[in-house]
Amino acid sequence: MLLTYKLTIMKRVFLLLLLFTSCLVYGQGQERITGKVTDDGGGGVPGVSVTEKGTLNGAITNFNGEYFIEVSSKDAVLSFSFIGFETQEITINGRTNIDVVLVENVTEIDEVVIVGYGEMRKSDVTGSIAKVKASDEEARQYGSVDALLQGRVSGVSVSSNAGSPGSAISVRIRGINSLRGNNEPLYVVDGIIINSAGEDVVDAVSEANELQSPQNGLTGINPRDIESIEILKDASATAIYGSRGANGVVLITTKQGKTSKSGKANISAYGSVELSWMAKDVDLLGAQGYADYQNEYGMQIGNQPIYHTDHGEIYPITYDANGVPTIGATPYQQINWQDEIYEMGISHNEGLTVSGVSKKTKYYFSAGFTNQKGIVESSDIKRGDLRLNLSQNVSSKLKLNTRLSMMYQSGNFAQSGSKMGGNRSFTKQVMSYRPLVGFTDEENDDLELEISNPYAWLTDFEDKSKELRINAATSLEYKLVKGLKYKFNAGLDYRNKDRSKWHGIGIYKGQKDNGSLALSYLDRYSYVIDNLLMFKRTFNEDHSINTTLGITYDGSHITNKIYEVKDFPVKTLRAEAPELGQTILTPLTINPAEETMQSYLGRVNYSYRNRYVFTASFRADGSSKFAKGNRFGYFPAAAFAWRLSEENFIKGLNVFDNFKLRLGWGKTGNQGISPYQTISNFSSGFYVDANGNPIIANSSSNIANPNLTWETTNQYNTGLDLSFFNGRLNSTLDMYYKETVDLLQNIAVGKSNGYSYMTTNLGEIENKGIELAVNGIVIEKKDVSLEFGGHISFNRNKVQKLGLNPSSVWSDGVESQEVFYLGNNVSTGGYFKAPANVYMEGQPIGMFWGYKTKGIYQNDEEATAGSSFLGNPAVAGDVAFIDQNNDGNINDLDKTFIGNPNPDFTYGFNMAFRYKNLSISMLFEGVYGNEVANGYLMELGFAEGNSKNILKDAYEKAWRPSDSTSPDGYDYPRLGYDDNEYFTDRIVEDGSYLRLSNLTIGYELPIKWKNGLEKVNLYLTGKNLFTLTNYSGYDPQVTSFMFDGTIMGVDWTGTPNATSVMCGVNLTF
Amino acid sequence: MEENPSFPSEETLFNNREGLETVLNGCYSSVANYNYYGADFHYLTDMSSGLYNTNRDGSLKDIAALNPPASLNFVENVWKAFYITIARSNDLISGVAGSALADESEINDILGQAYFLRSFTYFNLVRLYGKGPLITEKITSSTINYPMSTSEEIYAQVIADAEKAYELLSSSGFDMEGRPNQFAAKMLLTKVYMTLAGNGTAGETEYWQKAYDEAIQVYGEFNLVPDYRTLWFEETSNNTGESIFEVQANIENTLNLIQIFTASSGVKGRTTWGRLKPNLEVYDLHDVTYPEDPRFHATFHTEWTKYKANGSTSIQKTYPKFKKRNNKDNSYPWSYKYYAKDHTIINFNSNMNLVVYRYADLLLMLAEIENELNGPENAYQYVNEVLARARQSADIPSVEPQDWSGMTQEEFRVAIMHEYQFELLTEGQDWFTLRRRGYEYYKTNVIDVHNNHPKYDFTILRDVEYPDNDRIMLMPIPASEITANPNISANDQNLGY
Repeated sequence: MLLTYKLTIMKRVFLLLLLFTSCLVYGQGQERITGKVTDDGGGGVPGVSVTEKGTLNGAITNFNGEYFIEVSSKDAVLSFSFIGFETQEITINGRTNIDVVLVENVTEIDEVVIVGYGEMRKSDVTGSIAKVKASDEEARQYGSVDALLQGRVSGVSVSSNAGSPGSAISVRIRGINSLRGNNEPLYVVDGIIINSAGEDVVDAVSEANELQSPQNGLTGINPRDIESIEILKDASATAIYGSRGANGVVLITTKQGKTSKSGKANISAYGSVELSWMAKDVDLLGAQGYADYQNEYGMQIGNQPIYHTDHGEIYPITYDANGVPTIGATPYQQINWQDEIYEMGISHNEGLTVSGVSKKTKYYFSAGFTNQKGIVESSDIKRGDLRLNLSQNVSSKLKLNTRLSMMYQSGNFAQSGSKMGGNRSFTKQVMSYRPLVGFTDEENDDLELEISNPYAWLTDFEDKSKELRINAATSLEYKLVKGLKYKFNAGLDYRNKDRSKWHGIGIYKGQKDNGSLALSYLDRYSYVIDNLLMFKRTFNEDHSINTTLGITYDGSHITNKIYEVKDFPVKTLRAEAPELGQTILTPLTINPAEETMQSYLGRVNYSYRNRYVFTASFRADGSSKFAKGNRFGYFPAAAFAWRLSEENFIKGLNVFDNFKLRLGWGKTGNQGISPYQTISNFSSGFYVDANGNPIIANSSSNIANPNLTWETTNQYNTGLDLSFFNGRLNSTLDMYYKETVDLLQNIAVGKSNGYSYMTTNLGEIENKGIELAVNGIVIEKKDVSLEFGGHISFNRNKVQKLGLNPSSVWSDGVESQEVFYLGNNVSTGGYFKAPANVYMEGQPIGMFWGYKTKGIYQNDEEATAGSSFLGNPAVAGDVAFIDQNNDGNINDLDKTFIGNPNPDFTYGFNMAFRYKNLSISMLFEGVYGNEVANGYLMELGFAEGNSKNILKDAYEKAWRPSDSTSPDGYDYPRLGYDDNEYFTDRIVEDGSYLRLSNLTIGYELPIKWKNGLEKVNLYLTGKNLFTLTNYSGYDPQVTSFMFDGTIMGVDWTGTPNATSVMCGVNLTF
Repeated sequence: MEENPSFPSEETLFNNREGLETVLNGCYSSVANYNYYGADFHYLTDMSSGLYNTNRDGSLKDIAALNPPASLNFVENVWKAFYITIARSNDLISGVAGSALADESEINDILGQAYFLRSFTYFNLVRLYGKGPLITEKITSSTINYPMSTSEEIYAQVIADAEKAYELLSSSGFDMEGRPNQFAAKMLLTKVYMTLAGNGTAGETEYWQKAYDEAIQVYGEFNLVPDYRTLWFEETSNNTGESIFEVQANIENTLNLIQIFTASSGVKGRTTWGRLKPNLEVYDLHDVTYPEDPRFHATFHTEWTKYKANGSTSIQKTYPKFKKRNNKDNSYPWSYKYYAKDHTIINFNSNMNLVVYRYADLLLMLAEIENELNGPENAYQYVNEVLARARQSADIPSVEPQDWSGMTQEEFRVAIMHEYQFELLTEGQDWFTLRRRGYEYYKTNVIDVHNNHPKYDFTILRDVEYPDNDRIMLMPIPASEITANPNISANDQNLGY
């Protein structure tokens, strides 16, 4: 917006100057000029007005776009103007033939909205579509598209963690549509479906305790190259994508060459450097606190103190056989592991774009390189990418469009947590590892560190990945007759990724296996072939029709390969030499999977007098994933918009520039399950023969479900678009209701079936919500401008039906029969080995399910009066559990709702201010009212009495036996309390936050440049500068179990987020 | 748009012998799985047998204290493992019935083994959990979630399957090394009838007789290895003439026994866990009964090498030399049978198989049955075969354990029950043997003996007092089965849980 405004001002200044010059030269001799005016397709444009600047002298182009004019001098200026195109002024400079290519007016382009399989005038849009258009300056700050979306659009929530570069990012549009986990929207880039946001290699580590940290699947689309992003939110807009539209659709259009006034190429280069550091640390015990804790607990259980403090140094105390103490000579090293391990990461990013138009060709080329460092020393990503977009007008009727992008990246990732937690998790170890470390002997400085210590995670763990991604798309457009064109679109998305995980012997897993290496490969190509017939015409000025009909075919071939080996006599080569592993855990296993889809689609958009707009669309999808008979799904949609601002009774009010009411309904689907679920699958393993040789063992690995079919969402949407003050204040309000039925779920079945899960269609959920977006231009003057924008979204979801049998649930002494199922266990380790979420009919999705507590038993009387826990009587200083069924004992039956991970609302607001060459923009985003289960607290929040470090408060505010209860009571249980592995409301916290996610200060150097340099723009950006939250963990944005629909809002593998400052320069030549 | 997956289909697997063999291997691999004999079965049955302690602190409050919660992973995993084995056997049996091989007698050996594994696993299930859904067909999406069947129904299936296994295996003349042959089915049937007899039911004598009829057919079909000690070294332990049913393993497909039974940091790689260790009364009973029994030192380990992080080692001495009670490493002896014999190893992978049924067990069973039916007179011969071998199992043959003679029927009964422990401790039979004679027997001989042992200090963490509660005769039905199976409700839970 700012940029456009700036251009307009410059244009005006330019115009004045020209006018002035042309006046000076008025009255000289006659010159005869001829030429042709064409559009960018090369076709002649009739009716263009050609005038000599400063005179009344003018002409109009003929049917072929040709003109003839006589002007007063050789230096005269010709002005070419035509509705919908930018007016061009050209100085003759003695020429007699001047051909002109018209450039479409930018503001007019803004009025066109890209929709599925086509585009529409904004005024004709009937659905809920949001557009994101980031300035170059902004776009170049982000490494991936999904990160760019954060906080910008109502109804779209994005979770990510900037502290771990390359980690997965999750995007949700209008809540949770399915209970299966992967609720990522469909991404379509230049018409080609890129359906891979949650995709990664198969985890080759066979041990169930390990958890592969998810990495971003949406690679290869550089925000730098994006012209615009449209987010299709309601079903009337997404139904054209049928069986894949239910989670919303993100349409990405990449840049094209644009005509510049000078006619020469646009060349720009940019570069930036970014410093990032840990945004927040957790308040743990320091070295002295830790020593006090260990001593106090030791004495409590009858041991002698083992730490001695003298002048700030802490020494070991040892005891001989007679109990005589000796204080060690060498003090312990005191280490704050969070400070020690997390450090500043320095990243840089540079690139170049060249674009332009020459006669019949538009070109856009860009290339870039990024080196991103995380806040953990061992994490980094290097990425190079390039893009070439070419459009060629082959003839006046045939247009060829080619887009090609390539990306290669390689990186190393810090371990981001395991299913088991404890010392299997790097992040956990950094917090829990004791802050006092001794030396192995007096002479050397070798620290005495146990297995899986935080350093070992830096030196003995590798998670490397390499990825090549190629996107190629070609389309041919042929104009058949006026208004009717045929478009052939073919595209390929190729992804080749390999990931290798090495555990050396410094880490528990590596030690157990004597070095272990897991290799995974993903080789995937997916393709799209569209045949589209598009018709767009206006009849009698009143009726305007825009239709698309199409047949499309698409598919993907995925080959996953895994290999796992252990027991390395030579460990120095790590992942480089799998042949050094002596014991093969998983032989090379290749799992190809293929899926194909055939679809028929159509859409009609009809507008009457620009007042009443109707859209109807239909898609039939046939998917190979379902058995015959269930194979085809049908997805209709219809919508209506009434542009009241075109009605005289509204026009007369002179208030609204736009007043549009939209109503829509549509049906979309989801088929996001693995292929081959309708047939019996066999997988191979091993048994051993009597000679000790492995022999192949085949067994069935699923319960085939031939009845599987689409999950279907019915969505109703009503919206209101308002615009006031010459378009300076705009608002969009949407309300929606959607209901998803036949949920495709991997439901738990009784283990007596021999399987734990079965894929089936079961249950119904609903989402309803309100979204409001407002933006306004407060000041718009030559030197100063100020803009504000904001959005807020409310979404409520509910499990409506599960189709299971009811079970008994207790709440406050009242028993009821409820239908529900529980999520997956959070952990495989000792702590949190329980589901955190419940999916219960009539309740929001994924409510926290655990024990309610009421503080600590402050004294013996309270403890005696309280219930026993799993049969063990409570003592003073224990956590006081609430006995829901009043049977005097706390067990599974006393579990109840202890929180809601779904937010009340999400919001964001932004501000842009410009004064002369200086600009400042800010982007805030926030979430309100959700709760987070802080899994880390299960250990950190209890002074259990083991050697692990804990929260400062958990020790200092722990209950202690004393004569009188402390006035306010104790907040934390007694030292040595160890019933802390159960999920209670003690670890459920408010997850609301407000974050300044981006603050950018830009400055355009006010210098006249020669040597081709046109513009120099400097900027300074701070990301994640502050977060207002009461959440005590690293980051309230939960990224654990991102693609596991059965674990919601649990912070189990959360890594510290990063705050960063970036400074960059953009050069335009 | 048809799917053409690259994994083997039912047609390729069930219509030829080679494919079918791989499906049978799949049944065995589930028996060898971590959740079954690979690890969890030992955790669950040993830890809650009443004979073991653990250094897994979390378990000290639940299974090691005979207090298993229904949601405990070991309770869940073993149930799951049983049913995976059952499902795979069902897949094979139903798959063959619908295939081109249905009428061919050349595959009787394969079918026989599938019936054996199904019978064997249902028998483990019905003893451990008391009941469960009885499923004998391949599961399909329309037949999932069977309701509970009674223990009687399951026992009937166990017997029918074992008999079918015997019939198929004997008709094919099958005797493949490392695989159960027809006599394994007879061994299984003997155990079934003894279990049914031991509960003091009306048909007690009838069951003892049936048990005898089965057992006597196995007698002489196997032989005892000369030296008891060789049963516990991977070089000599696999597929001996004493083995009746054995789970095969190698280092790539290891059973995790060494990891479970070797002291934590007891090998150079410090990868072992030391999760199961015999109770003091178990050690003491053997020590008091036969101090010179060569089996004693093959069963218990009281001096071991501990590795520190920096690679240095120290020799640790456990109970009875170690007197303090609150020590993870040394307040209990270790079980030596599956202890790492070479402490310089880096990881716990091993080629050692697990012998589930062995001939010495059969001889003791035969002795017990004979004593129950006719008194000790003809029973001595069987037990004395086992004792004779025990005496020979030393570099210089020992005088103990001496041959038995001159006992009353009751004395014999008491002694034979102890003899199972001396011969077969930690071999996966303890839980079942001790409970076979009912709760009164269990309380008197396990719970009371344990709780009254003078060396324990139940006020500290490591020593655990056992509750007097007869629910421990069975494990709880796993919570997830009650939650996820709509045809099973909380009312189906075993009494007391």
